[in-house]
Amino acid sequence: MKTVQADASPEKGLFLEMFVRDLTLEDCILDLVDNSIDSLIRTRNINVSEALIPLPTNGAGEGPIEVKTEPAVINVTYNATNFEIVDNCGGIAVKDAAEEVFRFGHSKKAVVGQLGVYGIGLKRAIFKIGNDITIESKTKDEGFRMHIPVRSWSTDPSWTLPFEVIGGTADSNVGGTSISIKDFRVEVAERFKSGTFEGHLGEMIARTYCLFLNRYVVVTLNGRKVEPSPIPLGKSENANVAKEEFEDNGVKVTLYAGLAARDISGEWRAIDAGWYVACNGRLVLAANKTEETGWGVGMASFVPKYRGFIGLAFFYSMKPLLLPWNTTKRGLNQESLVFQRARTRMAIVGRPVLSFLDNMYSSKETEREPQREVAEGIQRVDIRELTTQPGVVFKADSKPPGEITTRVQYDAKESELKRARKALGKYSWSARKIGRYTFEHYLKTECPE
Amino acid sequence: MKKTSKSALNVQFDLRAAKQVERRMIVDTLQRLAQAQFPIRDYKYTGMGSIHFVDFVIFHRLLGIDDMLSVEHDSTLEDRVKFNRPFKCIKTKMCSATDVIPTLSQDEKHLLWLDYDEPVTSEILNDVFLAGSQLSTGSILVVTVDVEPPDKVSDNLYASKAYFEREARKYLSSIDDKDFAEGNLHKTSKRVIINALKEGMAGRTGINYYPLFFFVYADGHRMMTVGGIIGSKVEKRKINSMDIEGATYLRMNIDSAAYEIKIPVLTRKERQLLDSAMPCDAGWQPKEFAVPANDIEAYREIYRFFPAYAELLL
Repeated sequence: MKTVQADASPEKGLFLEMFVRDLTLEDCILDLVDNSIDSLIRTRNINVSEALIPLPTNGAGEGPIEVKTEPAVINVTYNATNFEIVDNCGGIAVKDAAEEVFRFGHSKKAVVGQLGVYGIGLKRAIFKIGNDITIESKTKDEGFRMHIPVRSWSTDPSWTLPFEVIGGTADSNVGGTSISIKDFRVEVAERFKSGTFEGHLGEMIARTYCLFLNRYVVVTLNGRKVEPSPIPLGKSENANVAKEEFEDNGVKVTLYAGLAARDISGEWRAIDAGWYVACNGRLVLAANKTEETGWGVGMASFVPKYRGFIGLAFFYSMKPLLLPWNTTKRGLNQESLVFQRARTRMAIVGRPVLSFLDNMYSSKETEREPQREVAEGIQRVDIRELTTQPGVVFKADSKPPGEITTRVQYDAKESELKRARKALGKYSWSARKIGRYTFEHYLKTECPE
Repeated sequence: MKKTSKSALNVQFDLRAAKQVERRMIVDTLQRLAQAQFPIRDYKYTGMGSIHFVDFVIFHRLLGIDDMLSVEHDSTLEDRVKFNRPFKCIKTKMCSATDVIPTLSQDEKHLLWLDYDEPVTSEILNDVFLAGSQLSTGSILVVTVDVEPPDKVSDNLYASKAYFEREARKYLSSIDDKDFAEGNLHKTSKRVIINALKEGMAGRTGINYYPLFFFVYADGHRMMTVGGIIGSKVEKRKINSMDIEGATYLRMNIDSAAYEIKIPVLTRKERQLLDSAMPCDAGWQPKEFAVPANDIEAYREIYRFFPAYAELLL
């Protein structure tokens, strides 16, 4: 019998086209930020599970003293023709550039990062954005410069990318990488022109890296510093934050659930409520209210009365492939065993908080008083403060519920109101006040206690 | 958010004969499990004792369980619940089962009886889900629900189907109109309960649900009870070593048909005579009077568990 080898080699142009298809421009840019942060993690030897350790207590000799290093900087800029991301996060070694960084997918021997998982983020991002790519990177000892003319490279059967070796910086603090992309793909050029893109990208960076920003790294977007958007989890004297920790298949899981701190207008915003899920400190889901995090499966379905609920699920592993994120890092891998277990535990940890909210909104009033008092006392906590707290169930001490009240509403003619105002001699009183006053008058005269 | 109070206030609890037979069969199983090296005495029993505590009394008296918690959702019953608590070792908590499940210690083995008196609801399935995640290995979960058509007054032929699609859509798996026929609601209810339990057990590698009970009975409303052990290979081995001689009511295969608890109508004198011939051979009939063969058959299976009622003038 004759054996024939069928040609299964990828057609490069089509491969690149498929490769960049299923992700958004925002995802691409976050992938590039991930790469910069990974480089920082490697150079500064940061342990991501410690990225959340308590803030130092200065001087008094209690708690860990933080090594005072300037945060690294990642500058993201773009205009109609040029996209650039420049960091001082340490740079890429020439050997790594030659053997690992530009491969599609990690090789078995690759030393993987903490945020980069599959070894595709950088390539997918740059090919998605444009056709004229220049990458320059310097470590202390050496550097390289690579230019990829994508149009001609995609028709070239070779799978290598030539680069030029240049000198290093001789100072690790300023080692870094810059990526510059021109000749945008048509759809990308349109997105960059959009009036809402910058705001949206800024919000995503603020949220996704809220645990890293300003502590390890500063990100600027078109010259403006991106401030972290903290997770609004809160607690008070009367209400704690529930916590549970467990380890499963090499992944450490920490779950928190509690009430949200109210915003400046004293309200809970439904948009902030839900589960926040982070893998190695990077947020994968924010304010999630879907089945993905168990709403409607084990947890009740999300309804507006749950807008005070905040839950956090942190997954850590030195082997990022074990973490339950998908390749875009914008969703969870539902098949992950550790996530399947975590999701049921999230329902358990979150349940007492939902019960509190059920009680708070159980009557015809908008909010019952005892629970409202607890809710108003909630102050936002720095999540890093919670890491030393032992595991506990959520508990809120609310005073025994007072008498249930019912809202009394009716329509009155303007002329009738006017008559009442005149009789009372209170021309400035609101309709509501007149309603209450007349009701009280009736109670006092017709049915005194 | 389950209320247990409705039937508790309508029915003199201890007079529900089929329910009592079910309790006694569960006790019988727990005694067999204890013999098979399950430390049943040390289990913590959490149930919905209402104001009658019948299950608490027999579990304490007959099994020696003394760590017991009764949950009651209806806060208007608080005083009566406290007053009627038959033993000091029974703690009571005024809250729903939903609130108590997340607080069950994972370091203890539990016997949890979610004894609802309404048809399956999404809240009940959430409770079962939470139990699947929270109950430690070796714990026993029992769930009772009403399996009458949930919407009897409706003239819509598909009312039961609509009800289940609303309350249990995620756990229905396949949907066939036959599943919602009155005679099949106990199977459909069991299926969604088991699916919710399995969903709650997701990610617990090496842990399975080993079925023990699948009862159907009617003292008035038709009810269904399903129950079993959440366990690993260790528990499986112990279950396999359990003496099941004569325990025809056990349903240890997930696909088995329900065991129907049938209570034949007999007088006290008739029972005395039948008892003297028990356990009888198949086809046996008393000489003194004629009883339908299937009543004798039913009596033979339940006589050990069947309470005798008499008026007591105190």
